[in-house]
Amino acid sequence: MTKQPVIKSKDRETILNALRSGVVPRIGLQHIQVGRKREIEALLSDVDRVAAAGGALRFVIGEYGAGKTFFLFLVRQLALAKNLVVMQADLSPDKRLHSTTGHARALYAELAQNTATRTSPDGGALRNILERFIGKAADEAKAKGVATADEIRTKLEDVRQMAGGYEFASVVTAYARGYEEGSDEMQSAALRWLRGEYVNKTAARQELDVRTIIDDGNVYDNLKLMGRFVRHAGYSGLFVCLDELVTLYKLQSAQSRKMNFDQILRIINDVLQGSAEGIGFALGGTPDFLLDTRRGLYADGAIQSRLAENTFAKGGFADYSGPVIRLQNLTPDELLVLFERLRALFAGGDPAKFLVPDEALDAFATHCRERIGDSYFRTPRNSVKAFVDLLSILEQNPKADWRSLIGEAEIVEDRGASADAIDPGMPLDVSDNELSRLQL
Amino acid sequence: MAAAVGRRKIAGPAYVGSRLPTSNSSSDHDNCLIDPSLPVGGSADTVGQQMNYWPSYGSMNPGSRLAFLNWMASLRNAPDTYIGYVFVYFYALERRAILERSEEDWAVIERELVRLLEIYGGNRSFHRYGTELLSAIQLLELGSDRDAVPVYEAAGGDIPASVKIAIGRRLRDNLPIEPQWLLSWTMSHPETRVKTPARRAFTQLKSMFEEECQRRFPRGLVLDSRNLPRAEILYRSASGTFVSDLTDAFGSLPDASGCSDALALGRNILDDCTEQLDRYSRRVAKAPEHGGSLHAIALLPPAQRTLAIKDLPNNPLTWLYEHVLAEEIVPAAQLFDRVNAAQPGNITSAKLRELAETLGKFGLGVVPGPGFSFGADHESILLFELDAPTETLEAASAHYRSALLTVALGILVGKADGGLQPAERLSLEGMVANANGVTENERRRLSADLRWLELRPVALASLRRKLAAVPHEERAQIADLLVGLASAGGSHERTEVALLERIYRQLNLDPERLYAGLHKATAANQDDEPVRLPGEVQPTGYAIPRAPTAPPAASNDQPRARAVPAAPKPVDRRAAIRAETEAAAAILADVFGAHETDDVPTVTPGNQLDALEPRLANLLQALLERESWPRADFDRLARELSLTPGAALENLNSWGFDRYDDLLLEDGDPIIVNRDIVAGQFSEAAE
Repeated sequence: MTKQPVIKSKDRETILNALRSGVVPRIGLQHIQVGRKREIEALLSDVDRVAAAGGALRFVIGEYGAGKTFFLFLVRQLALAKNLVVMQADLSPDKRLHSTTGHARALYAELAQNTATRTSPDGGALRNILERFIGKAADEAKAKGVATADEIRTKLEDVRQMAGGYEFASVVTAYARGYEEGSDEMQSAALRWLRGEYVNKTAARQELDVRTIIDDGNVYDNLKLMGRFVRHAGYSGLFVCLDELVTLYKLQSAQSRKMNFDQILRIINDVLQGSAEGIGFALGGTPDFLLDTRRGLYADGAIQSRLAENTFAKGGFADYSGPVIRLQNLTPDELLVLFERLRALFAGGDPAKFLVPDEALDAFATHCRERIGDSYFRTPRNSVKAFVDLLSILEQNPKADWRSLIGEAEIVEDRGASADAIDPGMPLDVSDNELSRLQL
Repeated sequence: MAAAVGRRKIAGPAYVGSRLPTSNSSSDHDNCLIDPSLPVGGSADTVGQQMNYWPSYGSMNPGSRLAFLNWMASLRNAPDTYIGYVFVYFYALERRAILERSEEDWAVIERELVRLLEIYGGNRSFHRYGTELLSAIQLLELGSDRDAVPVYEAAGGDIPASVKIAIGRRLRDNLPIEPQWLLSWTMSHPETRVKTPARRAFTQLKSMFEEECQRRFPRGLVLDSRNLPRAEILYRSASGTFVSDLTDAFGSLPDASGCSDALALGRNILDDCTEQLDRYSRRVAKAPEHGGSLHAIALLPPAQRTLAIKDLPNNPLTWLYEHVLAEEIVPAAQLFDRVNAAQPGNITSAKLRELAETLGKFGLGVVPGPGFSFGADHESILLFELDAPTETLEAASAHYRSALLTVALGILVGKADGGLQPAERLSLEGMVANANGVTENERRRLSADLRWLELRPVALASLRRKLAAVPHEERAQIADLLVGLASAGGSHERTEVALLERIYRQLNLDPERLYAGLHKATAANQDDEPVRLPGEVQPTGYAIPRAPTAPPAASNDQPRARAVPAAPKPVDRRAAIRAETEAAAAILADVFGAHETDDVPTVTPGNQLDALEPRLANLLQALLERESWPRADFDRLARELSLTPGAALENLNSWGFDRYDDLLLEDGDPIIVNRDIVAGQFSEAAE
């Protein structure tokens, strides 16, 4: 039996509520993680590398139900715990890495919206980050006996040197001035700028006196600026999590796919060449997105050859997985262990409080197989949901017999697989609904 | 010694005189007697125009006598001499050797007979009588206990006496009839129909016949000699003047002609053997100069081939096997030359099939195979050794066909990223070794196919029709093998994947299956532990025990094998998963905070104050008074303490995480204060 750490009751509720509604919990993933030690180590080493002012890039590749989203959530939690800022977004037809019609800016805006820190794990942390930077600058200015504005300028000197950095620094300075002067308008304008919410330069110029805005052409530059900036604000670095990269694979226009892949190539090159500092990326996608040589990443010879290189042979270990983590769908045995962990979660880690005996776990698995076939373990979201429901009922009705309850448990087959599958007929504007994306 | 007849001196052997009685008539002038008193003269009748069919010196007219005496006085070697004169001379030899049993003259007479047969043997009658006399003398010389050399041809209307005697002796002594004597008996019997192949390939026939006898009568063929009549061994003279019973020289012997069963048996075996030699015989008849080629020898029955090859001046098999060992590709023309002793001209598939059939009989196979190959190149051939010689080419089994296709595709996939990597070759060899349902010879053929295809890969386009013929249920299987192969190197090159995509399209398989397969295959490769690189310092890492992947006893005993071990029991698998889960959880716990507990950690107040800046401490103290603060109130509170609100929030939480591993203030509007974390201790401490 896996030894269970004692679980905080608040975490327990959060986890169980999430599972009951079929989504990946925001916290406490360590309580329901099964296996995958190597993958976790790889991700953790990425986070550590970013915290040490390095760069990192991981493709988290898995089929539907393999747990890509779970893993991206996990890396997000790891990064937050290591005092990194995390930006996170799902790609969709109107949120891409490159576009000429505002879709890249839309992706940036989504990332900015979902900027999280340990304090604000649910996002919206951009303002805190700015203020933490200003607070720090003010404190240090005071200690040095200089003006806060001067201190800010000094701190942002390196940011200013970077591509697009001049405007970025100006906007941060504008926010600081707005804060000093008590001008909510200016603060909010600066925030809007940093959140990529300006759609044209004229308005930005009028309100902030800057010539450029964050637009389709400079999304990645601004992510790099953000990466540099958050370290000045006292964080260890920036981690960017992008999911649903299959969106790019599904783009109908070859040109459009190429431009988006070029952005990925830029990131790869920066990470490999060491020019990405304090920024890491985790990109979630399906095998076809990676491997298809006409429409996937493999269509780009430069990307493919870089992915094949053993670029992470560092620290005494050759990590032959390269920058790609390949997640496999759960096996029946792994699902069984997951059931064990859920049972322990209900019991708060105390075996004396287990709601069902071991045989019930097997019986439940058999029941699932009979109802929905092999998908019960390959795409186990609904199996997990039904199991959590079962335990909840037993918790509330201690006299109920698990045997009869298992027979009644309704399990619906997870047909969301089509969301990840190639479906040329599928129009691009169909965005995935939340349920079909979130997987355990 | 020479006698004078008229003016001529006649050298012996010859009977010269006035009287020589015969044994079976009242005449005292034997046919051969040269009576000098008879008239000789006129014109010499050299062409024997005036001669009778039954010649005798006495009945000749003077002109014929002149011609005869002229010949007798010469060297007796003029080839166009009238044969009647030669016969008259021959009658004298016959009489001397047989009737008179003149042992001291036998050797001379034998020599003379051999000489005469050489010159006059063209005359059938003379040939027959001459040969009979010769063998009769030889029999007499051999005496009662020695055999003559077996003969295999009929002479006259009866079994040759030498055969009769040899068989008769064995019958008399109850000894087995040796195969060669049975064959001799059978073949020399005037009523046996001996077919051409038996004559043309007599060496092979004889050896086959002997082998067959050996097989049928391992202890020898012993015939029942009871109730057999006595053999009559008579010498009937050509002169017609005596019949000599030779029995006195050999003793009384049973007559073999009574054993019709044995003769029938001999004929049966002979026919069997002859039939087996038919194809060879025809081939040799067609092209006698190729009689010694492997191609012709291959037409012999299996047991005869080795013998036949042994007699060849340059054993062609040696050359062939050298090329098998070298795994070299041989130009087809050269091979045909060695095997068929012929230049093939255009190499058609029929010729290739013939070549393969020939070599198959010597235990060799050829690639490209005649049954199922990828066509195109017939100009070069790879030889390989079969499990055993085969008489007929096996038709390529369905299993072989799909295995070959898989190998051909596998080569393409393996070469897609440049050359064949060792791991890829190993994987291909594995495919061959594990091919399902193929015969041993097919497996060997596959091995050679692999080598061949590595040197001469076929284009995917040329496989289209063969791929289209693959049954649907096998397609997925082939595809899976290819995916495994492409993954053997560990990573997937773009060119490899692109080729697999084309193959999948041709097999009409879902590309999704390809990507999923590649994904699984690579992940399976990742199961190995990281490999330590030489010369680097061991990093400080997590002290986590390795997840056992197999029972300890097993892992100690055997090295980690690449091959898939027997599936562990579910319990073991679960134990392994639990162990790995625990290890993973430990790593995560290390990051998320080791002391996850509902209990408040016992922290001394002094420590807390040290760490928190006074302004923040004051802010926190104020915040702890309420459970939640509207954001605006929080901002004002912070600003009053000249703190930037966002910074204050972040910094307090950062401190909180360090102290309590938990979130102190939950961001939002309102801001939630998790007072239970601090649990009252802080307020007292801050005062």
